[in-house]
Amino acid sequence: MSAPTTASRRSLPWPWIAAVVWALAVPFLFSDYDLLQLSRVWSVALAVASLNLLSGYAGQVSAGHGALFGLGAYTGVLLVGEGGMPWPVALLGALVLCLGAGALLGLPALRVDGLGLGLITIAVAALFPLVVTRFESLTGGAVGYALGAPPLSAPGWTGLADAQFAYLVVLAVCGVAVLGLRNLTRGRFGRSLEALRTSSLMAVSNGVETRRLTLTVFALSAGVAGLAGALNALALTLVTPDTFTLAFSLTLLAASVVGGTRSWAGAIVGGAFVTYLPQLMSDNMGGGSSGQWAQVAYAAVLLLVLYFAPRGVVTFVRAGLARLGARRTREKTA
Amino acid sequence: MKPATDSGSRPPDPSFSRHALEVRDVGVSFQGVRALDEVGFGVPSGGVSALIGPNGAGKTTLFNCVSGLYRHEGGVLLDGEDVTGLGPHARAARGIARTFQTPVLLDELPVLDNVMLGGHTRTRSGVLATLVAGGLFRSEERRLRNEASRLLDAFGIAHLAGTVPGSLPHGDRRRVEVARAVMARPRLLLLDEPAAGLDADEARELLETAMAVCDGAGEGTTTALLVEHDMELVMSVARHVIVLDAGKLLATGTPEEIAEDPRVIAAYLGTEIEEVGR
Repeated sequence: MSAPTTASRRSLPWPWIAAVVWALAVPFLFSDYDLLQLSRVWSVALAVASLNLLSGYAGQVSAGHGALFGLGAYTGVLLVGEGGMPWPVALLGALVLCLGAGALLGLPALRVDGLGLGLITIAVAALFPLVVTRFESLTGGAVGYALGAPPLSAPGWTGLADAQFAYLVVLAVCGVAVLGLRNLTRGRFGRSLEALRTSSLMAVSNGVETRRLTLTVFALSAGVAGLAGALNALALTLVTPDTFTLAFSLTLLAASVVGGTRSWAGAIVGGAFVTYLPQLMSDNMGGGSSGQWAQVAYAAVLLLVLYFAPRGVVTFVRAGLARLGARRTREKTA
Repeated sequence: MKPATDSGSRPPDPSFSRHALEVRDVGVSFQGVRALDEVGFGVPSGGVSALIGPNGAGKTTLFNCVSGLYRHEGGVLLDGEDVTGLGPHARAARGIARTFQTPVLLDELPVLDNVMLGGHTRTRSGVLATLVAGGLFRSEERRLRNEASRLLDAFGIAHLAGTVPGSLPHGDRRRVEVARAVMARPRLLLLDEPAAGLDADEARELLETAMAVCDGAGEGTTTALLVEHDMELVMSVARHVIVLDAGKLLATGTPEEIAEDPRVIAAYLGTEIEEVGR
C-alpha cells in the first residue's frame, strides 16, 4: 500500500479547488441567514480540525475543546465589546489566551494519558459554563453577552453587505489556519507527532522531546480552537454559556470521528454535522424535543460511522471512489 | 583456558577515552527486583561489540539504561562525556541511536518518512518555520529526503520508499528500523536483536551495510553494540563481547576469550560456543 510522503504532498487536488471556488461564490448566492449558518460551519470545522491535530495526529485525548472554543468566543467578544479593540486584535487575543490555556491543559498530559486525561478535560468542559456564569458582571452571566454592532462589518470600499464580509473573513481565517495545521502535520513536526502517537519511547529514542512536544501541540490545538470560537462569536455577535456545555465538547469529538480524525476535509464534514443536524431535527421533529432528538441523531450517526467507516466518512468515500475507479479501469482493459 | 576480564564493580577506567561507551556500576530495580546490579564495562571505540546473556540477563534493560529510557544508578559515558544526567532525547542528540527488539515504526507514514525521522537530531527547523513552510523547513526536508533515499538504496529497500510499513514483512521492518537508526549518524548504535526474523546471511549483510554507511558518513567513528542470541553471528562480527547473567556482569573480552571462559560456558553457552570458538 503506497502513501505520499509528508514532504511530497504539495499539489492541490481538484476537489479542493472546486471547494474553494464554491466557497468564494457562496456569499453571492445565499441569504444572510444561510451565510451565518455557513460561517458557523467553517468556524466549527476549524475547531474540529484543531481537535484532529491533537487526537488524530498526536494521539492525545481532549474532551474539553468546547470549553476552549467558548473561552476564545468570550475573549473575542469581550475584547471588542469591553476593550473596544478592532476584530483582528480580538482574534489574535483569543488565539494567544487559548494558546496559554492549552499549555496549562497539556500539563496533566505529561503525567496521565488515556482515560485519566479524558476525565480531566471533561471536568474542564463541565466547569467552563459554570465559571462563565459566575462572573456575571463581565460575561453577562446566564444571559450571555451581545455586541451592539456587528464587529465584522464590511468597509465601504468592498461594496459587500456585512453578512457577506463576515462570511468571507471567517472563510479566509479558517482557510489560513487549516493550511497552517496541515503544514504542522508534515515535515519534522509532523513526523514527531506521529512518533509521539505511535510510541513515546521510540519518539524520545529518536531525539523527540516528547514533553515539550505534548505541551506545544496542546497549546497550538487550543489556540486554534479559541480562534475558531472567537470567529464564530464575532460573526454571531453573541455568546451565551449554554452554547459551550460538556455536550458541545462531546459533539466536537463526535464530529471529529465522523469526518475522520486525520482528515482536514473531514473537519468540514464535522462542522456541517454539528451545525445542520440539530436544524434538520428541528425541521423534521419540531417542538421542544428537537434538541434531544439531535443528541439521539448525533449518537446514531456516530455509531454508524464507527461501525462502517472507522476512519471517518471522507476516507470511506475516498476508498469507495478509488475502488470504483479501479473497477472501471479493469473493465476498460478487459 | 583463562578467564575473561571480570569488571563487575571497578574504579573508573583511566583509558576510558578509548571507549565509545563506558558503563559504570549501573544498577536498576523494578518493584524490589534487581534487574541490573553494579554492571560496569567499556565498549572499545569502532566496529561491532556484542552484549550476550541468557533470557532475563538484563541485556535490553541495559540498553534502556544506556539510551536513557530508564533512570538508573551509576554512570554512562559516551566517548568520555558523562551523559548520565541527560534524558533520552538529549542522549539521542549526543549520538546514541537504537533499535528495539520488535521494530517500532510509524505505520501511518511511508517508509521514507520513517527513515527521515532518524535525522531529526540533525535538524533545527521549529514550529514557526513548519507552520509557514519556510525556507529552512524546505531545505532541511530536501536534505533529509535525499539522505534517506540514499540509505534506503544502500539497504536494498529503495522500492519501499512510498510504502506504509504496516504491511511489510518483519525482515523489511527490521531493515527500515536499522536504516532509521543509521540516519542519525550515531556515535553509538544500539541494535537489539537485529538478526531476529532474518537468516544468517541477511543479518550479517544488514550489519555490514549499517557499519559501512556509518563509516562512510564522515561523521567520526561509529560503534555498534548489539544484543544477539545468534552466537555464530556474534562470534563472526564482534570484536568485543560482554556477557551478562542475572543482572550482573559475568565477563568481557574478545570472542575467543569469551568462548573459552568456563563461567560463560557454565552459565550460558554450553558446547555451542566451544564449537564456534574453536
